[in-house]
Amino acid sequence: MIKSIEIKKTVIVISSMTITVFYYFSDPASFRFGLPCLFHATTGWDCWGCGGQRAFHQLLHGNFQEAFYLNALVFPVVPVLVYVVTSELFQQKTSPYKFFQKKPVQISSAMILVPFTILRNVME
Amino acid sequence: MAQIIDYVIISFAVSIIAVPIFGFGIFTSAMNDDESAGLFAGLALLPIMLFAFIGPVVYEVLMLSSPRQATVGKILMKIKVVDEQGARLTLGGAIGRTLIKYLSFNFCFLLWLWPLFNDKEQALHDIVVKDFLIRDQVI
Repeated sequence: MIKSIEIKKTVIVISSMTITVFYYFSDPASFRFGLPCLFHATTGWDCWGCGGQRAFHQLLHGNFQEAFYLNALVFPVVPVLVYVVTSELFQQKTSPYKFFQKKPVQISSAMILVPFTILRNVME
Repeated sequence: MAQIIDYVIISFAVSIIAVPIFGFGIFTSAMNDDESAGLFAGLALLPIMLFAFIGPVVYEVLMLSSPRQATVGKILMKIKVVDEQGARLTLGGAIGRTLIKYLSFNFCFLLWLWPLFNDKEQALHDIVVKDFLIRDQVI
């Protein structure tokens, strides 16, 4: 009998691979899916996540410069997502996200996100 | 990850319901009167569009307020949603949580990362409704 933890791991691996393959072959710049960003739709400004999916597509194709211009946050966010997926695969006794919950990390993240969002709109 | 699995399930359900569109498309393209064809196609599309928007909310609300206290994605990920007392969410709580969740995630999808930085791994909708995600195994 297959243990539920094995099912969980299988689902994580299949989902991660499916998403990666999907974003490799589907360019969000030409093929739009899902609802538009409400922040952008209401204000006309880019939020910190705008362009993230297009940037991920370019990153998968090795176009680092293009990915940087679309959304530079893709470079720190992708490693974080890889960490999340691997942490869920190899679950430990304690929360694997303690590092992110430390005050200096929280403050540093906010200090990157907020100026990044302001600057990307001001410099456009 | 649970959200992605649920998204796949919902997309699949919507796709099945959307299949008749192709039949309507063939039927309306054969109609000579453009206005009637447009009206007919619009009436056929309306319930499908409504289902695409309301379906995911209804699905999540019913699943979270059910005895399983989790959507299919959450069941597979071995997590469930509880209120402050550790009990099942009320129907009102589940509706509030789901609506805030869809609103906040469509406001900016990077808000998905919020729980990583929260001491109790709560997302914005969890903080507002005062609920928690608990894992089957640890924490």
